Amino acid sequence: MEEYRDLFLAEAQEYLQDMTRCLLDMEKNSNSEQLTEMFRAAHSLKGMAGTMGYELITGLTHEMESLLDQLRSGKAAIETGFVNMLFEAVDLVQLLVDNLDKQEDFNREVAIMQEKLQGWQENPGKEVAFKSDTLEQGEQLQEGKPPVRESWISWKEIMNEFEKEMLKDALSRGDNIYHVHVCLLHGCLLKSVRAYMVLKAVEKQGEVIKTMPPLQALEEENFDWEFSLLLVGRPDMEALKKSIESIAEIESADILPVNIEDKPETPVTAPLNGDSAAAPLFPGKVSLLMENEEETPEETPRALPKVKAPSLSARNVEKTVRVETAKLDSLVNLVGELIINRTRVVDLGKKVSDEMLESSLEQLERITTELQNAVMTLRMVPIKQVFDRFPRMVRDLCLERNKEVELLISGEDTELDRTIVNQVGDPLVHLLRNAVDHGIEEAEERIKNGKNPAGKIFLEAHHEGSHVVVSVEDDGRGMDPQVIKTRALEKKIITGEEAEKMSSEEALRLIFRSGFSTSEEVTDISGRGVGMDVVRTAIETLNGTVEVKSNSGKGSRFILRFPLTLAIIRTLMVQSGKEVYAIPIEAIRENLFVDPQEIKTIRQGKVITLREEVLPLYSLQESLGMGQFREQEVYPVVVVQTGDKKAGLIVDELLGQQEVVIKSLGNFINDIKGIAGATVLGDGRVTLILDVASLLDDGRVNLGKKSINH
Amino acid sequence: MKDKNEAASEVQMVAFKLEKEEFAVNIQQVREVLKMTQVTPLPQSAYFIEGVINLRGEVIPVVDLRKRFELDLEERGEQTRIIIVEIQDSKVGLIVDSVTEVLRLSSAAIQLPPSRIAGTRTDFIKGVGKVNDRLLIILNLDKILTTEEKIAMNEITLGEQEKIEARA
Repeated sequence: MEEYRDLFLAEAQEYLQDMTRCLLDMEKNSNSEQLTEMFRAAHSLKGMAGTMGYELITGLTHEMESLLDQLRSGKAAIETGFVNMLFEAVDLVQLLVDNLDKQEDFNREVAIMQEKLQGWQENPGKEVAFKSDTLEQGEQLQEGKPPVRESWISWKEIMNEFEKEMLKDALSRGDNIYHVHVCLLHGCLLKSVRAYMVLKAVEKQGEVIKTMPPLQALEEENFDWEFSLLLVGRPDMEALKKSIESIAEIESADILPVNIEDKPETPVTAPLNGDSAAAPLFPGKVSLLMENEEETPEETPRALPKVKAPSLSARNVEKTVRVETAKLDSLVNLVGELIINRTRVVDLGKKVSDEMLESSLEQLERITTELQNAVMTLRMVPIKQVFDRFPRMVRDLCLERNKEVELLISGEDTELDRTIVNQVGDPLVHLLRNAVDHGIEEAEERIKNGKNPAGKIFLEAHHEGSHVVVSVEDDGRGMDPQVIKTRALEKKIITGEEAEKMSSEEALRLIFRSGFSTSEEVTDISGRGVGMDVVRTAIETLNGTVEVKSNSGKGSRFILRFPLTLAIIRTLMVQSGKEVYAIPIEAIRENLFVDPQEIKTIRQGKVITLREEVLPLYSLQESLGMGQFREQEVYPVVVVQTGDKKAGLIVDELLGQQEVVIKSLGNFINDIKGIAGATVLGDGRVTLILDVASLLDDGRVNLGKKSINH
Repeated sequence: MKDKNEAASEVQMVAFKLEKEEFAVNIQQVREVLKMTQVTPLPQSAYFIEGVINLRGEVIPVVDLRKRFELDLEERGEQTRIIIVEIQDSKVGLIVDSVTEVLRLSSAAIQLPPSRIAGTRTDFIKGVGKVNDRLLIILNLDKILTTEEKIAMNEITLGEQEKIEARA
């Protein structure tokens, strides 16, 4: 079962997202399409949960399904209260899915929710005949077992056309279908042999169409202690049960008749005429109906041959393959190795100067570059994964704040590295929250200013060269650079002199300074700023940048730029002492050659004046504790910046740019200040990659900063 | 089954030298043994971390066991080796004076560490192995490499008296 668990989790996640999306759409303009889709999602989730034996999820989704079905038949009106309730239900399912091991903890919540959902179904006052009496036939049904339908649905989902054909044939012969569930004793040896004996016993009584897990898995003992069989025939159930249970090491065997026809839970159908036990209705009808709306519910039991492929197949299953991320990572690593080795081979080839060799090396270079690009795209996922949760968040936030905001999303198909996608979520949440909270004004204020009472927030993503640009824009009150300056002055973040020289763009950037926005007051006046420094830091750890534009009274726009991938970065190689270090290009503003005479000393710190700005200088070697600063005739200086901190790093030599594959130092080494990771160069040497942000965070740098302010 | 095992139970060990003492680690922890190679120093890391090396594209931290046990640093020679071991799912290299051999020790020949200074030293030693007249100190690498606590050589080696006792 364990191996199916991950699959279940992954798929459940998708269904839950589908449901959320549908609900949001539904709220705006309900149409049957979303209802159907949501119904389908709930239905599939129910089926999966049933297979896995997650009874709480099964029960809950079952109620949701019933309710949605009622909705589809137009028996309940869609209103916000209703949508909210469904949202709650979706949240609860999510909670259950997130806590698969502790589902029992939510027994009470689930029961309450189920009651709520049922209450709603009964509320409209229509005759609701959704309680099926399938149990009539299944004398063997034990209490607490999931209803028979579940088993049928899960079978249906794993059956191929041929097996369906066989079922049809069997039915036309008048055979019945049974679900045989066998539990082996825990710790039983030779599981495959037991399974084989069960199969033999069962086959005496009919035909086994399919097993779950598949036959091969049974043979290879790839299953826990349970398996199921789908049997057609006319067995004597009592005898069959006995004969299975008489096999050694079998704990229990349950035989449930599968009601190919079942009384549908949809009120669409009139209650059947008493013979439901003898000729029950087809349970797949629900999905069948979706595809064939006009089909009459009074269809005869022989409707089975018309079964189309289950609605699941509508999803493009065969287009994608699920692969463990660890496998992907190792592939990416190997390609990284290949590239490094290629560089080495090409270097060697240059020494030999042979024409044939040269041309084949060129070809090798081309192919490996293409291979690298192809592999890199494997790691790419659409940013949709992150964006998808925002409509719901904004909606809830608006309800809470009593504001009306429309979130317009575009470019959600933009792809970027998986590792980055996972990390852009939080800063975006921050920005969106700020936009709703502080950016968008109250409706009255908007009307007064001649704006549409409903605010708009645009969330947009697109590619720009090797970067992804995400922007969050609102048409709210915007920010006033003057107000921000005043606040920054009050907070002693800047000096009066600095404030005077500051352009409005620079003033806006002040909101990213740490310490700028700790009090509520500031945010209310500036309309921005809850933890903007957090946003900046989060984005900078991704080697990204953030920019802000604002028009007082008209709205603000935050522009985030990230590299497409974190695995490979462009760096500048520098020599410092005996070592070579790689500095990420993103952090570099410019390179200078500084004459020793230009260097002044303020409080033991070296500074230079660069375009009327005081720039602190540090010896890279010293900063890393790798040796003493040495006098030189001229100092190559790399000017680096992260956020509002800028400094010059004195190195011994600038060696040139290079793309490098980032490798971690392993979990044995804790975070080292100033070092982001390592890379292996073409000649096999390991070179450290600098982490400019943490390097500048060092005490030494703060010393320099103080001296600027004085 | 257990009885049979116990009699024949043997552990394979990789033995190496530091100064005059002989140490051993369980071969199951050892991935490979390399000749000394270029080590890139890691700034601002624990004092005994020599740096990182490239092992077929993988970046692996290397610990100088001489530094770890506060021994004088000697010129590295032809015999110097890096033993790549795996602790807590990550690979770490150990620089040692030389790797002497791979040997089998029967469990009977392994004694629990003498509890002279109970507490500190027994943490770092798993036992003492006896091969003929040689005494091998079996190190508890997990402990030695994951604590930043200083460990002096004499804390992990045996005193003369103990050597005599152990041999007996």
